[in-house]
Amino acid sequence: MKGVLKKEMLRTRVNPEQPALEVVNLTKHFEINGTAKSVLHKITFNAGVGEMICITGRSGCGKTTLLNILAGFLKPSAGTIMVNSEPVRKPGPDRCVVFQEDTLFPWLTVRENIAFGLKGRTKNKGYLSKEVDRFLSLVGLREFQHYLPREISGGMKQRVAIARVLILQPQVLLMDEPFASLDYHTRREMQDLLVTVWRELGQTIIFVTHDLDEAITLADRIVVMERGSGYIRQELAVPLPRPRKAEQTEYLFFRRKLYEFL
Amino acid sequence: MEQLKKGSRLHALLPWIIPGALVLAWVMVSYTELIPHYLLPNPLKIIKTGSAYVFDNTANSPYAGRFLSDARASLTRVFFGFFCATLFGLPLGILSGRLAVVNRLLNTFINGLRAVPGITWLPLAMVWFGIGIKTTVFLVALAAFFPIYLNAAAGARQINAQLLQAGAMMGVGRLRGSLSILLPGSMPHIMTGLRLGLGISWAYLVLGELTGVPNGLGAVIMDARMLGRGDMIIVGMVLIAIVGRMSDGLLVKVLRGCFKSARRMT
Ligand SMILES: Nc1ncnc2c1ncn2[C@@H]1O[C@H](COP(=O)(O)OP(=O)(O)OP(=O)(O)O)[C@@H](O)[C@H]1O
Ligand SMILES: [Mg+2]
Repeated sequence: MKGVLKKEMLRTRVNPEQPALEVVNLTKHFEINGTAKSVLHKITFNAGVGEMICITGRSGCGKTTLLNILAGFLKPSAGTIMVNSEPVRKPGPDRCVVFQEDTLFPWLTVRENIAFGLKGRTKNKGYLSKEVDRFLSLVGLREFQHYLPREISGGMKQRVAIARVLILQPQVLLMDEPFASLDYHTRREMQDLLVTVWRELGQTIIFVTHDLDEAITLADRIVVMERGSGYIRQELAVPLPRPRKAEQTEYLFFRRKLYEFL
Repeated sequence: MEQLKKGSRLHALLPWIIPGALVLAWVMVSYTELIPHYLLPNPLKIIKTGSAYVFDNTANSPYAGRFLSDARASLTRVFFGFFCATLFGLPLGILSGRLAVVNRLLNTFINGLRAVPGITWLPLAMVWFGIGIKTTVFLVALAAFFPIYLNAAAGARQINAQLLQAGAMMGVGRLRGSLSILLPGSMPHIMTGLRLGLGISWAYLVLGELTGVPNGLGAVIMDARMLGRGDMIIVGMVLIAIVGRMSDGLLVKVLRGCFKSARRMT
């Protein structure tokens, strides 16, 4: 899988000191029956270039809302979000999203789905086709390139969803519980795939999950959100080497610590 | 429902029992002259009239050989009426399914229009356009507009909002988003609307041609009524059914040929 990626794809070197994403005092309330319901309260955190941040917290604490705001689908009530020192105003290909549900275009094949975003950017058919081939191989779906989404499994769909945004080489990747609906083994496979790809391409990744093991396996830093009031309860750096094994004593230490926070 | 074994003889025979029995009864009734011929013509007579109408030389009898020119006239009217209905119905429907402003602007007006039975437009259309192609095209366009508009609106409304969000985050602009997400995403509904619209077009074609235009499949029926030719009336009815059915098949083929989404989602 690694051989597929060429040297030229290696992006600016990982630099956690230089912020790719800065969130300052982000607040969101929804208007329900005339009363304001507060969902996010003064959320502040940042993500360095090439960092993998996992956001975790109990159901309903506002993780999806936060991600939707970062993506530009929702407007914050207050606060600022900067990506590479530019304020976020609307959705754009510098911040690509992998959704929790299947959002592939059902009328396009696997190949056409992966080509979709890049097609709007380049007129060069040869380049487009070569790029699509590369990312098809990266996620191991070459044999399935002419299948329709309804003809492939859930895990394959998520791989297509990842490939179709990776091909756009986004600076920031926003992922909302992308593997939550997969079985244990497939999930582990997808986590390994994500880590491999991420180490080669070096994007900044914001990964929402409520699976503690997933967070510890993946994250450089874990942001724990408080239930109900939607503020940040704790930040936890996970300075473990990869690949991480659940049997390591350090891993268990982080697991216990995280468990206490929730 | 209790299952029927597919491929069995009963399975193949069943749909034809009622039509077959009816035709048999009809043949017997017309040979015994239980009902006079001018009310219910003999089936053999109908087949003869039909084949003369479609295949014979023009000079032989009043209706002989007219089918092609009548069908061409009717198809032209249906085509233009249906085309106008699509031209307005499709974009307006998609817009009103997506944009609350357009929906609010159009809904009351269009529902008001829809409350007026299509047939009642006939006198006014004749005053406006006289007798001829324009009246028919107007009636067809008006009638076909509603199913096309309503289904396009429903299709655009039910589209998964996350598909549009996915497009936006991949940097797709408004125009491309409309053409490559909204349109294919609504395609099953759009197709239903177009097919219903085309079906209604044929009904209103006949209405428009009953007003005394010289040619057309509907005109032939009316003409035959005045000459007391029940056989010709029935030939006209059957041919309209066949041509209408074929035009529906053609519409589906064309849509499938032009749009991936029509091929893969319907
Ligand atoms: N459009 C909306 N209008 C009103 N309230 C909303 C809206 N979207 C979300 N909320 C509320 O915001 C809160 C947080 O929702 P959100 O979907 O962000 O939670 P979550 O952390 O993603 O939960 P889960 O882990 O179950 O996915 C919920 O209480 C929900 O009721
Ligand atoms: Mg969520």
